[in-house]
Amino acid sequence: MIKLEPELNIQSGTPLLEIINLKKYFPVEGGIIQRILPTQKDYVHAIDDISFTINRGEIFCLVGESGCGKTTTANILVGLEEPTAGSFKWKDNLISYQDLKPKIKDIKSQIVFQNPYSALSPRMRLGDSVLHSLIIHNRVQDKITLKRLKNAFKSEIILFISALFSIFLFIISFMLDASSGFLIAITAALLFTLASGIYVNYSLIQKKKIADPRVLDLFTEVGLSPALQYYFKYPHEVSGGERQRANIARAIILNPELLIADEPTSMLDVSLRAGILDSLKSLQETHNISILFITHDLATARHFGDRISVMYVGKVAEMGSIDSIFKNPLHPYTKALIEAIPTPIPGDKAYNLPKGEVPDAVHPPPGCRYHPRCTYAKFPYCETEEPELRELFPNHYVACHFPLNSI
Amino acid sequence: MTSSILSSARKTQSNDRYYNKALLEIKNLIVEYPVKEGNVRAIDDVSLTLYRGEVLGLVGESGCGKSSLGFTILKLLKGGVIRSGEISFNDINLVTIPEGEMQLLRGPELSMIFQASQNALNPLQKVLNHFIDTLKTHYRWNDESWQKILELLNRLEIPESRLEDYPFQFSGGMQQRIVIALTLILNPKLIIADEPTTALDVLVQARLLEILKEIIKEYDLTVLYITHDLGIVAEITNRVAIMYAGQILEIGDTQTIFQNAAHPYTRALIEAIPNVKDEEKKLLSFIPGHPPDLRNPPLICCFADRCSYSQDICHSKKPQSINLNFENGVQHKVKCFIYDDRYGHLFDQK
Repeated sequence: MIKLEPELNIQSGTPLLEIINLKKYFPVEGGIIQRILPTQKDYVHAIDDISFTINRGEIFCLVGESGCGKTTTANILVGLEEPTAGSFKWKDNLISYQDLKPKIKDIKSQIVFQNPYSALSPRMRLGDSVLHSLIIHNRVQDKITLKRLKNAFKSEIILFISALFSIFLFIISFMLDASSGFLIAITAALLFTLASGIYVNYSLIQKKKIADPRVLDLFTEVGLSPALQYYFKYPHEVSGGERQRANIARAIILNPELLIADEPTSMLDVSLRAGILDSLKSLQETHNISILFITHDLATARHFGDRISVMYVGKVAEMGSIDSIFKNPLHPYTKALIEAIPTPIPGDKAYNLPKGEVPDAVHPPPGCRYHPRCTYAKFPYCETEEPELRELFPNHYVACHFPLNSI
Repeated sequence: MTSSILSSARKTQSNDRYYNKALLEIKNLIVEYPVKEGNVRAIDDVSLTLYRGEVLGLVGESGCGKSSLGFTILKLLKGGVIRSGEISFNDINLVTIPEGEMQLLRGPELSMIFQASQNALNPLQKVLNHFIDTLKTHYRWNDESWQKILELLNRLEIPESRLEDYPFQFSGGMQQRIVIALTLILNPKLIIADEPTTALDVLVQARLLEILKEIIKEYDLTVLYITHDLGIVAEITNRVAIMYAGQILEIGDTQTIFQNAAHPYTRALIEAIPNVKDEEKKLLSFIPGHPPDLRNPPLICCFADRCSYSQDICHSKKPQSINLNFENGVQHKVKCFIYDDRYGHLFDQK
């Protein structure tokens, strides 16, 4: 059991959100026989007692391999998942996990999802998608904005009907074949087309008024310019990077204090990634948002984050500032991860790679969870005793019996 | 000092081992996907030579045509049409030979490792059956086969006891190893590896890359390694081809590409990759804009709109590929006006 030590709170900057002894177990649904018979139920230990603090205005990275509980943590923090146990401290106010869900709106957290292709509704214009989150959260007080939204559709319907009507008149006039009736019909049709044309032109000017100025400002800020053009585009008309920018705008428009970015760049190409991260960083600085940045890519975390927490099978293995962890990794797992990433330097080789695979989270190994793969493990100590997260250097925590500086 | 020795060592080695005999030669290949609004030109005038025993990396962003090229070589392209060009493999033109003969080449001669290995395995069949099926389909099942299967499993570090397991009982990394073993059992000459490690975790990926490297050497394979990750390319390949908007913008020795890239796109791409072993935190650079629409592309340089060096000439003509001479003697080609004698003076800086 990790005890929350008082040192954990003393960080540079004031804490925004503290997560204390968070646990999340998913029950394993067995077959019919297992359900009928009163056997012992198995649980996936997705998150097993983790604690960390996110400070105001910092970028906190959560890294680890797939299945280590990163995304579950994110889902809990935006209220998509209910934790098994644990409590939260939001700006020094303790909130138990039972009260979390109704208070999730008070905890102003928003999420940017991994897949920009499925996170936006294909039937909504980008601008409307962003505005929609304001409507859902009852932030659109004026009814005019809502009316404008409806008007946008009305203009298109009027154009369509008038075009249909003029075609109808043409056909009628040819069928009648009376010269005077023909002339009248032609003039009427022309008038209708003219009127509808004027209306459409007018509605184009209207578009500027329809578009919500808050959304337009934000679009320029996240790099979607000219904003007015992007406002009326559908998701399929723009590229993946632009879609992710719209996703970020949708999260930011609610003025969150905590933004959770769940692998926002892993679906994007390398040449676009840095652009998205750049806009995230500038947004973070101008709006003073804290970001929980979840990623499996340590290289991105190294250049983007302020503090980092490395997770392994539901536990925090190492936590500290980016610089001290990457220069001086203390946990063998962290070191292996850093070594394993292919660097863009030919001839650079990885050493001391751990063998085997990530263990089953249903029956995690006893003692240190990394010991079956660890090249430094000492038996039987690592096999029996679970290491506590302890502070070896200022602001550098490690959960290992034999941290690498002692070898 | 050491680097010069290394490079000279590389030179002799490279001349000995590679570049003797071409195994696969692609000439002026054009592949298009007919769609409603015209033709999407996925592969635009690509010429490429694969030498026996080398690992050629094919790098590019998503949608640049790298997977299309892989599928074209195996003639497994769905919806695409080969408009012109030639693919000669051991003096056989793969573009014109009938499907029946192509079927005989797939497997024992040319083979492919797919991106999502879990989809390549039959969920209803035990792993052992996969091996037997593969060998029997290609009429190669004999008394020594059993020995060969065990040898390969041993080599790829798959425990023998797991032959009776179903694919879902394996982890992603293990499944990928099984797929590689299935590919190798027929002794192909050329393997097209289409992002074989993309879906895997870093540690598993690193281990698999090590195994792949050893196997390529042992079995003397020729590999076309398709990936978007320049880090993997730096680790595993001898030569690299950089692909963008259906064209190969630069091709050359891996060492040269990473240290002395010629094309502005290659340079920008290499700068955009974060390196985990950097001493200091730094701002990452990126390439503004996005790749061009490949529906009926205009005859200009495809990278001109995003290039920081671009001049008027780049927006009016299509560059031809130009041979560059580097010390190590490996052929280096680049498609850029900067290196063209006729237009080079238009650019202030190189």
